[in-house]
Amino acid sequence: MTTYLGTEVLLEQPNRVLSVSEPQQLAATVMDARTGLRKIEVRQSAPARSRELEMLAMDLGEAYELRQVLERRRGRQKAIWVPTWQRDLVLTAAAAAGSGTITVRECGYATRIWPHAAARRHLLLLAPGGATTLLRRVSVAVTDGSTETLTLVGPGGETTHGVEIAATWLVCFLRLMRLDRDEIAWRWRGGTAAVALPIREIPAEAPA
Amino acid sequence: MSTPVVFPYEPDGGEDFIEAPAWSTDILAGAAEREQRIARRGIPLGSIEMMVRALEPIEMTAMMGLLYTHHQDLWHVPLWQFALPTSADLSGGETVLPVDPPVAGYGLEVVPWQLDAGEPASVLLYRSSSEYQVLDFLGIALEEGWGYAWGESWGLAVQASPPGLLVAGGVEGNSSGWGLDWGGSWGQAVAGGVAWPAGTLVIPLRLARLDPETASSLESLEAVSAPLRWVVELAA
Repeated sequence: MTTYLGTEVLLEQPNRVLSVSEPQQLAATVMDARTGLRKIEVRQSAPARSRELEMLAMDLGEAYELRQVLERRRGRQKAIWVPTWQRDLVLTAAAAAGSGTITVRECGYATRIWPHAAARRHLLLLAPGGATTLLRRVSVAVTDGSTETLTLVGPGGETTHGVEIAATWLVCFLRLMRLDRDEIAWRWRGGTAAVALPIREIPAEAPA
Repeated sequence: MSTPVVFPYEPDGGEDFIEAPAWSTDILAGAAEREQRIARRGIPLGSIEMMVRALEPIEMTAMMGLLYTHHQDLWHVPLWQFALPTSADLSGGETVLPVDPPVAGYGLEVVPWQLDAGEPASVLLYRSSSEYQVLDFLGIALEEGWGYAWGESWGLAVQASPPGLLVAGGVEGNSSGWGLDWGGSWGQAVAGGVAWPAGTLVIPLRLARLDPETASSLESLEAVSAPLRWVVELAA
């Protein structure tokens, strides 16, 4: 079991045969008297995204590991970190093992995303093939107009990467989520099981 | 509590066998954007769904008769996806079911023998829809265990016992062959007492009630198929 800042991380990757729908929800109150004026009060500082992960257990060993993860979640009760498994940030150069920063292509992360919500300050960095993963928090993000430099801190306070990060690594957001349903169906066919996991982000609970 | 009824018919492998554990959580959304999430149940219950088909008149009548007669009773429903074969012959009275771990790198814990740790559980020893036995599950046997060894010096010693499942009561079987194998370890049956040959299936069971609305499809004069759904219950 891998944990990050005291919460388990779901590192089993979902099956992605088809494109994935990911609706975004924002709690808001709308006052509309139908006289032309409308007032909207947003009750969340960050929207919550949801998604259905299609997990596939190819044998009883993989099913056991996933079952353990789900039993520790206790339905919708317990939070879990889930990577987006998207190339959310694009590295522009390799980062040395002794370095504590990464350089990514300018995408507005430092100016818009990082200041907006703590829920987008946590990253998973994955070597091609998944041989190595790093879980890091972005403590500082600055831009020079064409690239952005992110200072990373490990869950134990590590200020260096410890391994060289090649420019081909996948860098994706790590989001704090929970299951969005208490009942999870395992569809068994022979020795394999397909499990659809509805998950929902809980951005307000993400540590800064 | 009356003895649960075993549903001994194997589901159609061409259809999904659905096991859906369900927790119960209350969620209170706070004003400060945070949720308070409270577990209302410590054990996941949920449901089991399978498609069964009977393709012969005798089996059709027997299966549908079982569902008809016991529609309101408590059932023992096998989780067929976890069926494992025994690795050795079994004779009457034995309390360890020899089963090899099904996946390299894992033990027998990959099968959820119990609904939850500490919950009473049962397993099904299964050869066919008319030859089976329900046994109370006690635990997973270890590679090395305490037992009686009968050798040059009589007494208690550590002996190797095969990995498998510990069950209460012992398996039913032909007791005429039951005895002691003096050349080996205590408790082994001699040849001739085999009741359950190697390859007999061992299957975890769940206590469940049949969904009140159970429909079946009469496929022909002699065949029927039925999508069955059970709601899992705790032992009383």
